[in-house]
Amino acid sequence: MVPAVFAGLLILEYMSEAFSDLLRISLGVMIISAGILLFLKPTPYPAISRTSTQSLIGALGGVMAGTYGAGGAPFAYLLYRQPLDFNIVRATLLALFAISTLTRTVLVGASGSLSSSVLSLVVLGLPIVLIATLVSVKLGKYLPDTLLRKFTFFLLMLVGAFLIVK
Amino acid sequence: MMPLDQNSVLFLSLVFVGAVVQSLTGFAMALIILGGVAALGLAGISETAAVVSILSLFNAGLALRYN
Repeated sequence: MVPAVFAGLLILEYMSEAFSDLLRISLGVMIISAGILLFLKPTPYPAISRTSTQSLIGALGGVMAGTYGAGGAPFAYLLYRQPLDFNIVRATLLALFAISTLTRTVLVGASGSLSSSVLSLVVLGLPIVLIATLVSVKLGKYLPDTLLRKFTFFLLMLVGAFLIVK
Repeated sequence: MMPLDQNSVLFLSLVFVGAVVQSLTGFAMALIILGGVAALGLAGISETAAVVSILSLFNAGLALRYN
């Protein structure tokens, strides 16, 4: 996954100059796929997936993480289908997020692209993430899961479709 | 530090929605923020991806800690 993050960053750099429309449209396609993914009921596989499958998903998620900072969907797809305890799946998913975003941030930082506007948005965003995460953890159990999924699905479809037709 | 203009408020609203969804469904924070920013034309994709990446790292760290 880690080398794939690097590949994804190169793709972003290349495409943001020459193919910004393609970059936007593929983001739209990814967002719609993620929305559909939310509604597929994960049926657990009988055994842990082969190393080759895991590597393939790792590479795909890594490229997406490198290009958009968003590699979660392929990881979530594979992990929720493993015959493992939910807490293990959740913690593994979070660890994958942490590693892919950390790798990306270090690579971007090393290339000198963490501009002051990026940093000021991060500073503004951090308290919001903190509040939103803590509120969700506390209140999440009172929210019906299907309602939340429907809302997220609708939001992703709307944004994805808009990006594709824009 | 830039002033809190309309675009920043929109951006921060997307961050809030994204973080809530990510905490409850396990993913999609970066997609919501990045998609929203690109759809509304608030900022460029590569700059936003850098911001989202750091915010997502923070969210994952928090969730691992308070899981």
